[in-house]
Amino acid sequence: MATRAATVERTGAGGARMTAGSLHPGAWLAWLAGGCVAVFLTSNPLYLSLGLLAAIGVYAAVRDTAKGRALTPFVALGLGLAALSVPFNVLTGSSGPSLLFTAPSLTFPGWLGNVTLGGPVTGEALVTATGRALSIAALVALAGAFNASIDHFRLLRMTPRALSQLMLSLTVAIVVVPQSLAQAKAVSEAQRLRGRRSRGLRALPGLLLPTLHGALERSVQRAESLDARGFGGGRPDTSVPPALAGVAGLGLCSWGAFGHYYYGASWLSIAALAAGASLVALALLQGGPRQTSRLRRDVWSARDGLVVAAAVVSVALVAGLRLAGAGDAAYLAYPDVVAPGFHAAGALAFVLLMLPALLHAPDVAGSEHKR
Amino acid sequence: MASDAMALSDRPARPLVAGRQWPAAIASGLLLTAVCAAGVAAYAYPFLLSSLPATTATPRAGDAPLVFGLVLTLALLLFVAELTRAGMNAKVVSLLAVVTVAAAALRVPALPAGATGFFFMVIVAGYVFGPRLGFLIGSGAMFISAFAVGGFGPWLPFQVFAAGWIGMTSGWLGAAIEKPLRGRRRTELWLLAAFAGLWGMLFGAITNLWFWPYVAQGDSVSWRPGMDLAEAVQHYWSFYLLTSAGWDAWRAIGNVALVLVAGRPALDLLRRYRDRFSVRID
Repeated sequence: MATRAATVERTGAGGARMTAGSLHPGAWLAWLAGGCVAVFLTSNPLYLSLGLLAAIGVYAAVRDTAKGRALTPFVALGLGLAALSVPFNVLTGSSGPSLLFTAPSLTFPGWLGNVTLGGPVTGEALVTATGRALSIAALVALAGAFNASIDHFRLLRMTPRALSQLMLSLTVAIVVVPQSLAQAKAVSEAQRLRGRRSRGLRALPGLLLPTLHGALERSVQRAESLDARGFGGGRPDTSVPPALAGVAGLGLCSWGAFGHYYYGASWLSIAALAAGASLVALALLQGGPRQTSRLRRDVWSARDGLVVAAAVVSVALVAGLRLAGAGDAAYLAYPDVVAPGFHAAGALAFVLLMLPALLHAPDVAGSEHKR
Repeated sequence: MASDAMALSDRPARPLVAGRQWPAAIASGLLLTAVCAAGVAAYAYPFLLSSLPATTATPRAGDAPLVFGLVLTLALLLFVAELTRAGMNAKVVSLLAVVTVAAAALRVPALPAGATGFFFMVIVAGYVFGPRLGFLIGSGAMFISAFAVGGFGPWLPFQVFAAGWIGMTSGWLGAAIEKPLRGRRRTELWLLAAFAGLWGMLFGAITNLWFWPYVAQGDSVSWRPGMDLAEAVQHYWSFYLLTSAGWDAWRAIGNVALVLVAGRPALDLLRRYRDRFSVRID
């Protein structure tokens, strides 16, 4: 399989990218968005535990790449902060009837906000804090899996037309990273040859400025070669209607968001949110310069469709449970802590998020070159 | 924003109404202001919704970060699209890429605690290149560096917009003081250092706001429906002091130190290239 994929990759059959390896970045994006929405929509510790397990499962399946290993400390830091949020939330003031124990307390002076640390710790506060910590940890693990598996060039190519020029600039930025690192290394070697041995903050200007100087010098040449190839020669698209439609959509969306909380959740506010967001999306797809041609196209496979469908179903299940008031999706430990309810649909929603762990395969060797 | 140090495009923007130029600039400015206001409202929702009647409120249940995250993402995309709508010339594309990658790369080698060179680079570049490019540099660098530090998550739009504001306000600062302080470089540097220190604290205060009602549950630091604005501000202040202030103080100190140590040569370097890039032979 890997050999065939590599051959197709090299010959570039029909400009298509062989997708035996990683999922389409759009599928990953849908998975991340669906996972985050599902986690934000529920406060039930049972579902959140499942969500955390699913996210960690996917993370474990995709992390074994150079990039995934480099990200491990950041994911560990995030999970550590999530764990720390439990004592923080419990010690900054617990209320509720079921007292567990009383911690020694310390009150800060007025200008520090009169906070009292410590004091009584209740079961209600502990359960609430644990639920929050689970959801933070799940979000961190979701992000970790996405970051470890995504190819940023493929992701940047998905940007809507209205942002294409900026994305071109960001793509150039990613491409010049190796150049800049090489330059920084050369500068630091040259300085060591001259016997300069400063470290820390003082060394930074000596390293940063020559490196930046070299990069800026090369950017002059790059601009000239872009100009020489006729970059930006086309007619600028300065049509105003898409921009106005975008702002109108944003206004509708904001109105829906604030109305949702001021007047209570209603179909009207949700419809305003959805309509506003669609209007903005449409404006972003319509505006901007004409799209350029592509050498290689990302292929959308059935696996990508499955992942997107799973994300959609997952969000729909959690939202449905909340709207129906079933399965304790919006679990509250107050006024008295009771065991949260459980519904199979809620469990299914988070188990479905495991799907990329089964469908993802790392990119075939040699196909991670820059395109 | 007509006084930008560097125009994004060689071409004049096509006017809205046939004839003069300024209506297009005014329309664009109004659009940017409206989009920015929506973004600010999305950050400040815990304060704007602080006097909710206790019965209707559900933000604490967890969907508020989601809803306002959506609003903010849309505002950010529209803002950037509007900034680049008239097109970018090759010089700007190339320069933007280099300065963005410099700022993004500086986010990774962390100095003690929250201090990095990221803010220094964004502030100095925004100061020299003006508010438009400043916003694009700050937001672009935050976005790019997210690939390196695993920062692609629900918090990203909030960080990107705030980083863009750093560059944009630095551009305003440059427009305000660069010419009047031309002979007085020491004053200029100290002002810039104070500005960088201020943003070191402010960045944390702004980017923690969106998840505060979600994360903080303790009674003396949490967001509650029906609390009034004063109480909300006091609770947020306590939350900020307990969680983020120490970290941000290091960042602020790092920013000030970097501006004082490396600010002058960096300003000189960027100004030299601004002049080289702005040469036009017609």
